[in-house]
Amino acid sequence: MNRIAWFVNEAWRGLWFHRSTTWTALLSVFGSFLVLGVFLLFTANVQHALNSLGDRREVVVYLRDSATPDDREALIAALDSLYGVATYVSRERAWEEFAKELGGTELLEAVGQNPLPASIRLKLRPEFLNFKAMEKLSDTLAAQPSVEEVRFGGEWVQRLDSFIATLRFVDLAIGIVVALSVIFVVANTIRLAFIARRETMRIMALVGASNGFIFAPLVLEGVIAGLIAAALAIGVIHGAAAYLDGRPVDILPLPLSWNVLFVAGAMLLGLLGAVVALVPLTRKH
Amino acid sequence: MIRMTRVAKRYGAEEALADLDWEVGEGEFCVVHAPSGAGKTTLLRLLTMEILPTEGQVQVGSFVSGRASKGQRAQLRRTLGVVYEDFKLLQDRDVFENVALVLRTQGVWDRPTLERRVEEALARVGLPGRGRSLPRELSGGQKQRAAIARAIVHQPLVLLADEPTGSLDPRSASEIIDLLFEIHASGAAVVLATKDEPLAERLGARGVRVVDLVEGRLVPYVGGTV
Repeated sequence: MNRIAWFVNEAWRGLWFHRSTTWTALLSVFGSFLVLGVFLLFTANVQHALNSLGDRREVVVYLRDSATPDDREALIAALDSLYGVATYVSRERAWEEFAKELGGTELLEAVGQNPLPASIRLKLRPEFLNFKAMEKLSDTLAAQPSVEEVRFGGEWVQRLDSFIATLRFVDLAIGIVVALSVIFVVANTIRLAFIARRETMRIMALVGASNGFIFAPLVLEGVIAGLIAAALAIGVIHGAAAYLDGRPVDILPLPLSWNVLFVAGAMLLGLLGAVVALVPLTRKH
Repeated sequence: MIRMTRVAKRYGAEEALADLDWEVGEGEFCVVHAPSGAGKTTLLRLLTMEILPTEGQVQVGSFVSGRASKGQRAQLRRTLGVVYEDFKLLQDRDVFENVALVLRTQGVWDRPTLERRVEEALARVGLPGRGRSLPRELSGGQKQRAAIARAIVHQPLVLLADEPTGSLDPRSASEIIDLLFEIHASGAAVVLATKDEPLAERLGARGVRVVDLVEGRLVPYVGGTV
């Protein structure tokens, strides 16, 4: 058995031999990761909701009646290449849509001729989905000779931006508190598990084992415990999200990349927790 | 081999050892006799450099207290064999793994080599073929034999034994002492600490140097067998 295999085997032996401590530690770390996972699920769903809200932001460019098809096509091409997806809405189509929204054509027929202008609806790329960028774009477009007016719901966009910023701040603040709590719980749980191994560590030191030799399997134990606890937490979160989906609200599962990051982060946390727990012990050996 | 020069060890206000000068030569067998709490274990822990003297200097081979780093102190322990009253076997692994641990700390990872050397050590202490036994499956005497196998598997120049017969029945104790003599005969220096006066007497009668630890100082054994 080579050195690395032996250290892995030692870590597994430690977890298996001290089963009661291991279970206690795993449950405790699992609980912490579950809280973190639920928070991440909440964040993922909030982010999705915010993106959906943000997607509704669009700029409507009303064209002058005097704008020629060439002017229009040139403007659409420029908007397409620079800002997002531009869709032309003719006067007739605008009329049809308006009629559809009103639920009938009787009232409109009383107006006589179609008063609605042709327009270009611009679905912006994500980097332009904020008030400042939209305002700047609106000013630029309004200066075009073929443009009559530009609307983007400035006040609504401003309120939405502010709401998103507040929500992200609250989410980040809660995230930091949860992450710190998880680090604290993991480090202390691992510390308690290691305290139960003091005699083993002492005996190893007495036969001449170096700190690295003694602590490497323990650090590996932290990583393995992090992996197991995170995998369990992810499983429970996915199961719960699937069960609760649509009762009453739709719940999106954690994206795959988040799952991978979550497990990798948990293993890193297990490693750091083990290192933090072991630092005071290195002075004794 | 071992030299203690004006060594004192204090735990707070309590003085365990005071102004102690002592030497053990290469291949020598020396017994330190003292009642419980007199400082025998402190003396042995100073030799393993598990603790450092409050004053004075401890030298074991080329390792000198005060000058040895933590890493060097671990290195020193790899050159020693130590046997304890409570065996200090790791309960989570079998005898083979307990004994092989010492070799692994020294960088021996090759399985055939480990198996050969561990089996040789076990055979030497009278436990051939017991490598797969767990410590809890062994009697007290067998546990101590396994602990001795662990202490000699790397052929140390010094074997330290702290009350090696303290928790054994008379017959097992006698066998363990015979085993220590065999190890000594193969060239290792042996330092044995005991509170057992009849044992000290018997060892003195077999030509072993016996010293008493009295009020933190080593003095010739009052039995006069020096």
